[in-house]
Amino acid sequence: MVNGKESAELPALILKLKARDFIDDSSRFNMLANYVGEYSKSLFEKQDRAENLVSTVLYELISYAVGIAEEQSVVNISFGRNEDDMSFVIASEVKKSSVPKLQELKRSLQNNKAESLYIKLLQSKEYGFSLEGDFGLYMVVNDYNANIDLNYDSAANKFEIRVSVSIKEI
Amino acid sequence: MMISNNTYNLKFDPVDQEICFSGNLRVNKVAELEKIYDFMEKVHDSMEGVMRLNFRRMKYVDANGLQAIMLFLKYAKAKDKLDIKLIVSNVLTWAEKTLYSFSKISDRIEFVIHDQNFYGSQSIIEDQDFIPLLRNQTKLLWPLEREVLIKHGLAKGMRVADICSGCGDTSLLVARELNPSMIVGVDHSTAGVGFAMERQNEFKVRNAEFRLGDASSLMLEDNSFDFVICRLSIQIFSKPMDIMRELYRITKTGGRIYVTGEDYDMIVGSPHQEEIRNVYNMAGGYGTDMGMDLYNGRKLYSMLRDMKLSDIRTDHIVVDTVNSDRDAFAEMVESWKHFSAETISSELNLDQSTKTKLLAGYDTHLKAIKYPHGYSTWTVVAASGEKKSA
Repeated sequence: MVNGKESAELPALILKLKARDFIDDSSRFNMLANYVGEYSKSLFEKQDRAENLVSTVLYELISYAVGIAEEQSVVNISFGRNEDDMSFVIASEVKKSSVPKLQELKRSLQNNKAESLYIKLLQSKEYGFSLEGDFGLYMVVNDYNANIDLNYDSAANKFEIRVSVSIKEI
Repeated sequence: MMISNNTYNLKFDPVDQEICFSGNLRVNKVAELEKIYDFMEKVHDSMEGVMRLNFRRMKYVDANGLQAIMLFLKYAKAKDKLDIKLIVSNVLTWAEKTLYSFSKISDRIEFVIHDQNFYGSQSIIEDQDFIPLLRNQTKLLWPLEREVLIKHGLAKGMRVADICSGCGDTSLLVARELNPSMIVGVDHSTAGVGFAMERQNEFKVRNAEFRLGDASSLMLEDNSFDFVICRLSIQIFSKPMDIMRELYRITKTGGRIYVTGEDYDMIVGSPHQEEIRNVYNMAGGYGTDMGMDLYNGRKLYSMLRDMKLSDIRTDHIVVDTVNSDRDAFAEMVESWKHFSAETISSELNLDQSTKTKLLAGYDTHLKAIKYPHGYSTWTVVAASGEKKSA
């Protein structure tokens, strides 16, 4: 499939990986994001820009997902494109201590607060690093005009993040 | 002054008051982020005026790395001491999007896309319509240039880069006929790179790879190629040495840099030689107005000398109506006619009488080429040199 001429059936790529693998070796976030970016670039006309976008967005999603996932759980990742959009889906089990954080994010997304929170972060006078925060996801929503759906099944203790980005963003 | 680890590098260049970011800034340790932030703060505090943050060679940054940059920009805003320029390449989606958002942090931050209008003729050179001209030139040059490339040292098994590869025809010919282990073609034209990839796929060429890239800031490793080609491209850039420096950087010690350039004074034809010379004098002048140097061929030797290359070799690749097919030659001049009398005329808003003169001049040249007793030449200067050990 070259230059997106044949439209891919969604998803193009499905991966099942252990959350533990990423916790043990954080360079795997980079490895995986770059792999998916490079693997899927031939689905797009502007290949280098597409590779850069896919890797960047996926990196933030996996980092967030692994950060809230149960350490022993499997993280399901899929990526694909259709005519107008590309789709990223990440699902796993959430660790109990991360449930409030997940719900907080869900509320922000439902109230369309992510973009304004991102702008607020950029404009605030606060200093200090937060490696556990939602900054990456807010950045994806604001800078890539991404739509994020977050589903949390409290009975099964599972979450799913579905992200859609328009091809026009490439 | 610099900091780096095995994935990223931040280097301060005092000449331009610029921190050059390169590599991959995906960091998950607070200490590492603090180190990056401190470096930027220290550089900031040591200067006056304008501070440039150049991200053109930074392929990826994660949210953590972005936080370090964001916090620094907030620091700069609070200090209110410097104007900050965020310099990005439009090849990198992340930089174009996120650093644009970051530029809103303060009125004193300017967002600059380096490779947007970075040479005068960019919009037309990178357009789909330019591809037929490139293809016609390659059709004429390749039978002659193939031997010149061998003479200048391109050999089987080498790792080759073709910078400003255009629509990729020459890269693919090198890949198929001269058997390098790999040739990496880089061009800034999406249309050109797309065309090259389609051809590569069609011809099932395995030892070639095409990338979109900025020739003055290549995403290629230092010292990584045995033979680096840059054909008919230095002449279109207003700052040719920015590209030459990159060619030098990616060439291995002992490897060779091969460049070619046109020289409009060396296009001649008969009959009607004066009319023919006149049209190329005009076209050369309009090229200059567009920021090109169509007399660059004669300067290549000096440029290679300035770069301290050794074993400099030069050749004239002379396409004429005897050694080449007249129809193919005429087709190329037809492409030039269209490019000069239509595209460039319109870019420069030339008046109708000038346009008519140009069209008439090219038509005269075309007659000389097509006339069985006529004769014409187009000369391209090729020059190469070896990168010595430091």
